[in-house]
Amino acid sequence: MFELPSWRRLFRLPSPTPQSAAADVDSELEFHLQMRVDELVALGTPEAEARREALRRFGDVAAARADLRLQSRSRERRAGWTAWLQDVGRDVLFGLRGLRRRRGFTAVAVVTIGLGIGLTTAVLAVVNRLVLHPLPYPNPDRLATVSLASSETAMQISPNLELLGAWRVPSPDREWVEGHDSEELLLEGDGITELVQTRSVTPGLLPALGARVVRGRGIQPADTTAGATAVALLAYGTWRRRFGGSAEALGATVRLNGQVVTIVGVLNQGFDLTPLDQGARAELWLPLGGPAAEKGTSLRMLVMRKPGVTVETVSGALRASLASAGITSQMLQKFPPTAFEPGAWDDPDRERTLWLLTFAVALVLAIACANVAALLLGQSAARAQEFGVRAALGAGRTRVMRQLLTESLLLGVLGGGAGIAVAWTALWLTRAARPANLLTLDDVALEPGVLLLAFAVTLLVAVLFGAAPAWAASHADAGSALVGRVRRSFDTRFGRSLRGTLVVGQLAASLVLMSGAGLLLRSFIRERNIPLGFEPGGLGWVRVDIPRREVPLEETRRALMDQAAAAVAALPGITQVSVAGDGPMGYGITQGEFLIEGRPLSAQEETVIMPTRSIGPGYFETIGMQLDQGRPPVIGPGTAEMVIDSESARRLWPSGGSVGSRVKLSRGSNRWYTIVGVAPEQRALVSGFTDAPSLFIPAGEWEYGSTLLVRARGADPFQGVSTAVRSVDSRIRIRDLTSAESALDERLAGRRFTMTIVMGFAGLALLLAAVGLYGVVALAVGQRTYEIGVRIALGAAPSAVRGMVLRQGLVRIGLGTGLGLALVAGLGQVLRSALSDLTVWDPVVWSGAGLVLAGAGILACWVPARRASRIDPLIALRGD
Amino acid sequence: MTKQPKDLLHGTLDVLILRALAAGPHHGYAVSRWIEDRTAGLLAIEDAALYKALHRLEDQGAVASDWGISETNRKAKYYQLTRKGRAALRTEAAVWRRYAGAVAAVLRGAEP
Repeated sequence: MFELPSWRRLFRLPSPTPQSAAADVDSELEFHLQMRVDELVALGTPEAEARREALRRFGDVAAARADLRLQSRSRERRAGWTAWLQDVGRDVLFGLRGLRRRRGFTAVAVVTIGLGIGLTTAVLAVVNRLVLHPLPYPNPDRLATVSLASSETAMQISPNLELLGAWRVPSPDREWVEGHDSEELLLEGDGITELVQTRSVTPGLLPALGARVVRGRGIQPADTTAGATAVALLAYGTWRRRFGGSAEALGATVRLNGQVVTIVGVLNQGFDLTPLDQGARAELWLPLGGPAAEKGTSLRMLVMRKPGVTVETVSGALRASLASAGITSQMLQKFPPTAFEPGAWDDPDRERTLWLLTFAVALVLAIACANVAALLLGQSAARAQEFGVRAALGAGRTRVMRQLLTESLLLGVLGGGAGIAVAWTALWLTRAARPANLLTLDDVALEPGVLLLAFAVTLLVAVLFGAAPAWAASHADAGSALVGRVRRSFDTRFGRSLRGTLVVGQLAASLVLMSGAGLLLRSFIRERNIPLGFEPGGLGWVRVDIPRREVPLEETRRALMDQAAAAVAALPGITQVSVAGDGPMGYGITQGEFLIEGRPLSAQEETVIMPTRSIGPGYFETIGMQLDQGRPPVIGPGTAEMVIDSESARRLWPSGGSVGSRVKLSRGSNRWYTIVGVAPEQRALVSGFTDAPSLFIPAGEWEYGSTLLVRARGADPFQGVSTAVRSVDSRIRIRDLTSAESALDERLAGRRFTMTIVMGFAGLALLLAAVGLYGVVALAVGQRTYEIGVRIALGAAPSAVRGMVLRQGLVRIGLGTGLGLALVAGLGQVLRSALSDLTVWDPVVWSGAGLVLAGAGILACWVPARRASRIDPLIALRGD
Repeated sequence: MTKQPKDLLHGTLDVLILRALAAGPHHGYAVSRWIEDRTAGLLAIEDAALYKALHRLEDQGAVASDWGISETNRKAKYYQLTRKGRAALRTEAAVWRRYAGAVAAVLRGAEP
């Protein structure tokens, strides 16, 4: 008679209408009153009186009704939600059980999704940090750097501290102006001597940029006077590394380039100016202008604009401040102070590279999704009987879809979890392998925003790869499932063609990635093979530092340098030594004029910025550079000779005759240099100075060289060089020897890094696409077992069967390759604008990528094709 | 001194309803009759209060309800105890017995 089975709740609507709740209350009360009346009537009370009595005994009917209606409505609503949640819980449990049962499938799907989402997350984390939030300081959008910038050339020079004073007056345009400088200094203490990066800063800079002093005190204005005690703050990492994070570091003294400095504080972890100027991480922070800081040559200024003030406005205001402070000079006319958005310092290629990587990783993710979708489609074909039975038991189409979507979401969440592990590992690997000039990569972390985005991507991906299989499965036919005609009935044309399309898309996408990787590789090789004009094998150089504080006399300094060169030359295996301003890839700058004797002054350019090398005797022999014409300059008193590069020689002397001509480098000067030789083109090393001649000028004209160039031979050519230099004089300090080969490597490290990542992505994409193709072909073979059995029984040769299966795969490979090439051609324009020096139209790369794809595809089809050709007709025909 | 029933002590009605349903599922009218019969009319309970209590107990999860067909062949809402309701009945009944015992002991002491 009475039952209250819980499943009846399932048929309730999740949210009952007010009407149904009210009707329930009404009929309950109606029933009660009627029963009372019936009973009274049975006892002999007249009907009308019985009704009155029933109402009297009930009390206030209207009030009770209103009360109960309200109560029952909210109760029903709650019950509805509970039931819904129970359903979801059941779906989840059911899904988990299913995933555990199909362990192999689950593992493959989770790994695939994890790779896709993990790599995407890692790239997004990098983009987020380096492109979207490059400056981890307060109000980064109002921060600007100030330098003295030529309005005509790209040349910038450092402002000096005098200007800083003039700028630090109240202004409606800026909140503050602060300065900083960086320098490598020799740190001695506790028996360890090392060269460390230091930053000198104005006292206000650190608090203005949000740095916190975690121990001790910060830099105070009193520290910046020349007579003050020399103090320094430790970077957090240095504190941990050199002082073990001990409180005793405070008050300790160290020697910086021979000067005793007291440690007074420790900065918070992670703070640095690296994101601002890509400079090396500072280990020590010094007061700018204080006694420990060396005379700065690379002073930089930072200005915080007030809200709504543009860099142009603030530039104007800074100039006006100088004018009103009475600071004017020729230099300031040529190089007016100019504020820049800090991003303007950045390598313009970096952002484009990162977007390229984002695009690449999105392709990988799409391919991974397609693989999982194909896997799920294959799964639903295999599970057709299960769905058929459920449909027969009355599960609605939406119910089956919901179950399957729940399973996809579960897969997505598991994959997303794996993805976070992958992303973490990828970032860790990236940090370990980053090129030296991409310091900010170290700050990239999986921030909450990035993780949230990864979660959103996971959900999106799960719905994307789950939707098609769910739709296909919800069309399961109950009848045919139960009579065993499952496969053919369920594996619809829709499912098959969808899987085929997915595979073609995957192949195309992986071809796009491989072409991209190939183009990057070609451009990398091209860049590496540009002749630089010198011979890197066996060439190295040592930068020698002789502190001016300890050796003030220029003659002594030169003598020490020459002694060091002689000491190195005496080593076995060393064939040539030369003193120079810098290594063959570095250069200084000369600002002046390039005035050719015998030509009217008016016809010649005014100021030019000329890349200049200071060279000592034997320079060209040491670096292995063959002069195009002429001879190296004779270096010594009474001579004034120079060498220029072939490009400007051609430009300025179109009909020849550069050798032997005389030039001077300033209108007011009387020193004429004779051009005695022409060096090979320097364009590859000296970019951005296209219209200026490259000069090779004898060392000592302006500065004496501080670099020892060494040419050596043998297995370990530079052995003993550093020791030999050090043994000359205790005041000589040197930095590690750089070999030309490692310098060349470092020059291309950024490109190599990007290229490696894109190649990794391309490889992964190829693997995933091949797996996808394999899956589709293998599934098709599985479904056609019977048919193939019949063919073999009727005498089809194994090779014919193999060919039949392979053909199926080849059609898809062909379609995928065609589509991929079309995409590459279409994306060519985009890529061209992204990477300026990339030639998109590269038949070698295109055909190479196509061949690799075809090879991998055929390999992927070969395995199922071979299996098909070995089907035993006896077994095949007996089964099914 | 009248013999009229006093207002019910707070919580009394709930425990009575739970006890009525302990015998098995009932509709509201049957619960009302069951209480009237057992208390011989001493505790006349207003039906409105009874239904409010039933719905409140349902909200608390002590009773569950569903529609069924009554002995007179009418559609009626049946209530039955849930596990939580059974537990509530056990504790409430124990509390009541202790309470009644305590009051009775006091009254015995008051009569010379």
